[in-house]
Amino acid sequence: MDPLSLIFDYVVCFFACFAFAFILNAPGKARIPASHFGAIGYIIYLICLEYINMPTGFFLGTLFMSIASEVSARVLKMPATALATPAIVSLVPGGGIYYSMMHFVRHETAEGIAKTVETLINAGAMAMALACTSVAFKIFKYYYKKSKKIEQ
Amino acid sequence: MDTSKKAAQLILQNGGETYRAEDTCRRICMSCGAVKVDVLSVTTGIVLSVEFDDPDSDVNHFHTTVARVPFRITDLKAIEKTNEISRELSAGTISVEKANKEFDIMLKELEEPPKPSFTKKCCSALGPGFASAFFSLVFGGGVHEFFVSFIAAWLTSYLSHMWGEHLRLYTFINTFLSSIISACLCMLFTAVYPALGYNFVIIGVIMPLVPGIAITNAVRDTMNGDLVSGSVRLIEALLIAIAIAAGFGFIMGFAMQFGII
Repeated sequence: MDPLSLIFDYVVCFFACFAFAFILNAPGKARIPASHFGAIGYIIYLICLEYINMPTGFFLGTLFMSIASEVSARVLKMPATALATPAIVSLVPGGGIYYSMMHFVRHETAEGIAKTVETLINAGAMAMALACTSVAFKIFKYYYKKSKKIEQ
Repeated sequence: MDTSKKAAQLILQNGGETYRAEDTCRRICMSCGAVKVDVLSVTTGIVLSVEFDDPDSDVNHFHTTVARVPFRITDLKAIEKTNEISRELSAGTISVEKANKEFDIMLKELEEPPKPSFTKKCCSALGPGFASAFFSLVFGGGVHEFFVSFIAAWLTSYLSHMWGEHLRLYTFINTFLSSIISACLCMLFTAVYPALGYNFVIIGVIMPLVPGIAITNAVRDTMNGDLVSGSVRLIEALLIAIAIAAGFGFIMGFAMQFGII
């Protein structure tokens, strides 16, 4: 992988997520961290694309984003969605939707169905990552509260 | 109780998750001295039932109220503000009347949004414009695609604000019309400048419309056990994706017939 192109992708993705934070009207403190998480997640996706496969790329990218946003939500005292939402936007499969639609428009039904299924699998991988982190943090919070109670 | 209902309604209307609305409701009611709180919230409404202890008689009082959430937008700052006010309320830092007033202001803003001026509309359309432009770069476009997608997304967002002022339509129709307009603009540009990488431009323009938020919230709601809200949001996300694909496919099909692509 060309490190220069990775840096270019990082910067561009950062500004894209930053612009999205404006669309979604995110609180001021959350904009820059969320953009960083989005950009790093996208870089993770690109690296996974090269060495593993696409759904794993989506999974690991979203996993990083949601863990990072949950942790920084505790630090910044904001709901985690306010940080995760602008970040996740960079991985949402917009390209997948477009290409599958173009295949159907060009009457290439087989490729269209293949691409649609691929997009669905990617979206499912993202959903899995989100689910895993929200469950993990709920368990973490439960044990943290329990240990605090025992201390008292 | 009225205050907690307003808080929960605000959270849902601004795109928060249902467990967050229920949690906020419960917290406010408990901090104001209720014995038992039962909240049921689905994506389109809230039912709240509170039991108050009456020291004078043996029987407890029950109060029930319903709130309807007719439409949802995504406004993260409003969710955060509601969260903060409810946190201060349950800590006791501010009074119930003040919180009530703040929530009333926020609800009024949702119901009748202030008519934005021309410059405000221009500036708020810059967000989607820049987002589309940078996304077209991410997916492999060049400088030409950057500018074209910026202009297309900016115009589409401006127009959708303009008709959103007069007519409140459901998100599906809004997305469908927006995607038709941006597809027309993209095809216009491609007709004028045939060497344009229209693939990248269109992916860039699609990105603000794609319901990433809806999918996120759907997953979060389902993982918390609110299968009703989770399914509702998932179907909403699918509908929006279909609207985008249908809108773009329609126009691109025409463009292919006329030989633009």
